[in-house]
Amino acid sequence: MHYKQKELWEDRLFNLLINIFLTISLLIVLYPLIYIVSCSFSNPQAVIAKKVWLFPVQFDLISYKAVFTNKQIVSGYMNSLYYMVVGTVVSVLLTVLLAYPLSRKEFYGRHLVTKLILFTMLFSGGTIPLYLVVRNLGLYDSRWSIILPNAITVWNVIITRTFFQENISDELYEAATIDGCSDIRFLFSFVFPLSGAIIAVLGLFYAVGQWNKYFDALLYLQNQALYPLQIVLRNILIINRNTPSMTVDVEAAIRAQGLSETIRYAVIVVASVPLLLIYPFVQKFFVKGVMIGSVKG
Amino acid sequence: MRKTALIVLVVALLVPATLLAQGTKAAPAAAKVEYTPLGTYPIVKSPITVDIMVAQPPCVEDYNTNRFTKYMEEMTGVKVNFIMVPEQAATEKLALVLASGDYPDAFLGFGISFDQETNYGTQEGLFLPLNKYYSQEWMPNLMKAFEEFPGGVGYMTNIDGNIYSLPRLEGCYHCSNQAKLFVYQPFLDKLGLKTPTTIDEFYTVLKAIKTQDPNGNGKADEIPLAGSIIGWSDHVERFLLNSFIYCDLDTDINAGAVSDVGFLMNNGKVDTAVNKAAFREGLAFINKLYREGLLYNGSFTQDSSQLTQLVESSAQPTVGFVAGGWRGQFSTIGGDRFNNYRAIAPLKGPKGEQNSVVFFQNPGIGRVVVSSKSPYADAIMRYFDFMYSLEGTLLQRNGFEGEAWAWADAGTVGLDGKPAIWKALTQWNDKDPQNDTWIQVYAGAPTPTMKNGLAVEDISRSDARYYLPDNNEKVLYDETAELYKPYERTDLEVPTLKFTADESEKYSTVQRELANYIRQSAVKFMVGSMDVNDDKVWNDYVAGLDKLQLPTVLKLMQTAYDRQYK
Repeated sequence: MHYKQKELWEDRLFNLLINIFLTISLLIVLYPLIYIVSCSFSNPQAVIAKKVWLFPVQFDLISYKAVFTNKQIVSGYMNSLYYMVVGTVVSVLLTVLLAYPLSRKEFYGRHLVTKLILFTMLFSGGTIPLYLVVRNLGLYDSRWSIILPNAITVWNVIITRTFFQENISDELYEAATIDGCSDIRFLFSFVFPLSGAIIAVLGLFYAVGQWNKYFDALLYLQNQALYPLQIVLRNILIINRNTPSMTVDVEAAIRAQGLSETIRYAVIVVASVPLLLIYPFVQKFFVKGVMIGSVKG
Repeated sequence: MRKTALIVLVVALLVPATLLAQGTKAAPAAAKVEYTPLGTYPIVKSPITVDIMVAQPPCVEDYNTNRFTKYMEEMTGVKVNFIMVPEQAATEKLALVLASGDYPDAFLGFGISFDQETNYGTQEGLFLPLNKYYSQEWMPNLMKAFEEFPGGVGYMTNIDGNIYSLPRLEGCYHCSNQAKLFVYQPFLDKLGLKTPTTIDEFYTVLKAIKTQDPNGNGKADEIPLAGSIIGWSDHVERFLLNSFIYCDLDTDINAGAVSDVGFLMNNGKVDTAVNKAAFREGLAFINKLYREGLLYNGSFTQDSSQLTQLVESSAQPTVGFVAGGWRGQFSTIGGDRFNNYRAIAPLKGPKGEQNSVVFFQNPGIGRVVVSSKSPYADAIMRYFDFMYSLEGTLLQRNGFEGEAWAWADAGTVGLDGKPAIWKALTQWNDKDPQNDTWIQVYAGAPTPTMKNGLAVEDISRSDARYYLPDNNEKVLYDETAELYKPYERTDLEVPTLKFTADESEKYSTVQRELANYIRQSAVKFMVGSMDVNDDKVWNDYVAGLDKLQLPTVLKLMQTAYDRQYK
């Protein structure tokens, strides 16, 4: 009895310490996020004068006004959504289609194919050859130039292959083939439904990648109507930077001097909100997904 | 069976990636263009269309539907099909397009460097030499604008004797002496001190600001001197060292490897300030200020927005002297503090040195280059010639006559006090996207004559409105003309040098490493992490310069100098 009580007391202390530690960790992670949001809603002069430390000071929507009055912001948002949705579907589909055969032991030459794929992880042709390929394939200045060239990430293929090897048992495959199931049928009727976790993870990885795409779009797109959000936001930052050049409109310069500070925060918020909204729904799969295959045995 | 299906699956995935062969579009046949006589508009008898790739700044919505583009089309008969690439991707895009073999007729606004001209022009022959067009006959407006840039045509000429590009001929009068120092005037008034003129007086004033509480809040919170390491001439050493030796050293982490490294002309020979005893004295002086807390200790780590926070964030003003290209570099434009800072002239050093660093206003190279395959070079050159006229520059930069600008009224004066040439009806603004004009003058001539010919209201120095932001251009002009121009030493500054492809290839790393070493050592001496007063440390530093091939670099620069200017 006495022994048991003592343990409880120790447990409590332990839990208390853990809670304190976790609260501190939470504050450390949360504070910069709150600070960014607060700054984005504050008056620029207050931010320059370092008056903002937790909550917005002199609540002001001027930064958001500067972002949302840009004519390209709506098309940028729509384009980024398009690239994210279509790009993710295409990427996940292609990754699974590549990973599945590589996971089958009876696939002749799978080691060679794996090595060829791994080779591209270490070596690439460089920007100019890639540009020439994109151009000569007729992808230049079309939406496909953003979706196709980097549709498959080798790293994701390997994770997916390992997942299939460890989770789709050979017995299941044998049972299905005895009933006359083809590989394609097996892939879509068994593998896909059984791989929710890995597909969610792939989806998140690819979606984040597509959402943040910037450089590809700079190189392969010419039509401004196709620009993703990131380029539009970058333009907004550039136009509001504090230029050393003189002979400027004094009012515009004053506005820019303050805005160049706060608009960064507004842009961060605008760019991150969609991903922050998706993340909680995928997160439960996330931990399970990337850990899979890490324990051998 | 199964295996076959899997192999087919994989092959089906891999095959499309290998199907690259698809011919490029056939180049349009060289059209027969009928030109009108030189010097008349329109340029062509029947309209033509040329493709020009342009680096698009965010302030222009669309070059093809831009009102100024339409104006040019109506005037010249040349329709330009602009291919727009975002300004921030211009460098990559240029390399990609030139490698792909599918060129537009010309490139506008890419700021192509001498090295790129050498590479793509001299070696690969992709750029058309434009020597023939640099003549009174072909481009009268351009040649007239060059009159304000003596030696400018020579500057544009590559080492192979060809001129590959059209320039931007911009002269910014106050930028030519941009290393300025400002003082918060109310502090001096409160302490009853005069603006310092020598290094010793400067030291006394700093001490007084530190100890005598000029902001009157009872706390010793004054910062006598501050600067920043990232920003437009926010560096204190660029102002202070020049009281000891002429030195253009810029410790900004973004500074280049060849210019602003402390090189100077010594009786026609390229030399450096950074191994001289006077340079050491200058560093020792700054180190003394740093040690005694007179120089803000964040000056070598912060950027200009942090400097602005330092100046603006306290309840009472605290910062006495601040380095900067203009007052907006470190204070809120139009704020009370902004209105009360005054520029001071270079200080007289212990040996009588008193210099202002010279920033040569060179033509901006590489603004327009023409593809060597283009059949329309004549038309493109005549099209752009108009942009170099005063009218063409104003139309391109400010907007339409009668809306954005007008010719000056009789009796008004310009910035330089001479009769004005034009007046602004709206302010130049690159902050709001618009489609009326091009805003950025890529190819044009905002020359000193044009800029100083801007009509300004004549406000007397004693009028409080003089230092307000609306009068900023006039203030900048006056400060520069009165306080800095008298001390500039154009004879000591090394003019811009051009290196051959071989030289660049061999020495660019050496130059970069030497420049980094000089900059880092200078900062270390100033903050005291290397003791400037210790002879051994100093001698080690000087030995380090030789180890990093300072003599070789000087010789290389001398060769380049003799090639261009002898």
